[in-house]
Amino acid sequence: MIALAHRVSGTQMTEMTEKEQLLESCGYRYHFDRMIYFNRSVRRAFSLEFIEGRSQHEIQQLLQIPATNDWAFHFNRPVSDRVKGELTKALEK
Amino acid sequence: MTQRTVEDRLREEYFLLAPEIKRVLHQLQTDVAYLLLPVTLDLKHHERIHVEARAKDCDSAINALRRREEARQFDEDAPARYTLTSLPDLVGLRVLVFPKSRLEGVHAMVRAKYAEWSSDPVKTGIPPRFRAWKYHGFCSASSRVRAELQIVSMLTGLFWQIEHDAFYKPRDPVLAGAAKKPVIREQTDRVYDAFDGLEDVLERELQRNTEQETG
Repeated sequence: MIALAHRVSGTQMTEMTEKEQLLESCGYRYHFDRMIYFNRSVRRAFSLEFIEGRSQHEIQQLLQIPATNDWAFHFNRPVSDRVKGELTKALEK
Repeated sequence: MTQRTVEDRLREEYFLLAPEIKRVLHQLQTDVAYLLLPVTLDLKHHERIHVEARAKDCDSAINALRRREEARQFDEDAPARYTLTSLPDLVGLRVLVFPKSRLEGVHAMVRAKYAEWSSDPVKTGIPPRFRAWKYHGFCSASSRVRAELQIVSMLTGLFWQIEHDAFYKPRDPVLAGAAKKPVIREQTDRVYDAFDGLEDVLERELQRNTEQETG
């Protein structure tokens, strides 16, 4: 289990910041332009909106899913093939 | 032949809507200024009410619509999904009020005139804390261009302008994305809290001063 007891400026971190820490400790980076968390080595991406709506436990379970050759996009709304294609191109640059 | 992108279609839509956007801006700005005229004329020397109105320009409107999409990506296979008329704030008006003791009165006047508009108060932080009143609706000048009205305390409203100028005005998607990052949002919320506290103290001190002068 990743230690999540970080503090920012002496104040208890919010749950959202803890989720961000969890993702970053698993090799995910925040894409400032797209507002997604992505990890090229496991080909997985989470939208900021998806992360906001899920518990740490749910995110942790998704992080444990083995990687495949295709990108997995965890978004609130279904992702069309066209959007998957565009994002894959952008993330593999 | 090159296919038109979602952005191309939205640009066309913007220029078709532009005359209505201008009319809504003019109507809202004039109506609210007139509505608040009695209270504005009644302000004490240190009190302020500022009415600021703006219409989103074409690029801002398209970017605002894009930011509502996850991963900020339009689906080019579903262009009909996107219309600028879904934006709640093609026209926006903000009433900044100082001190806080004036806020409730100003809000009551505005709310009475725009009673039909839907309420969507601005709350931020965890747990969510109230920051400002916000309403969306249509003016009689247009049934397609939605407008947004905000009533906010002066310091918070002025900080929003700084935030907007710093993160969104440069039209840099990286900066806009940074503003949404949880760790940045957490710090921003502390600034809101600090301004709230500062306004409370200022108000108390001004009140004390008034009591000393009259007592």
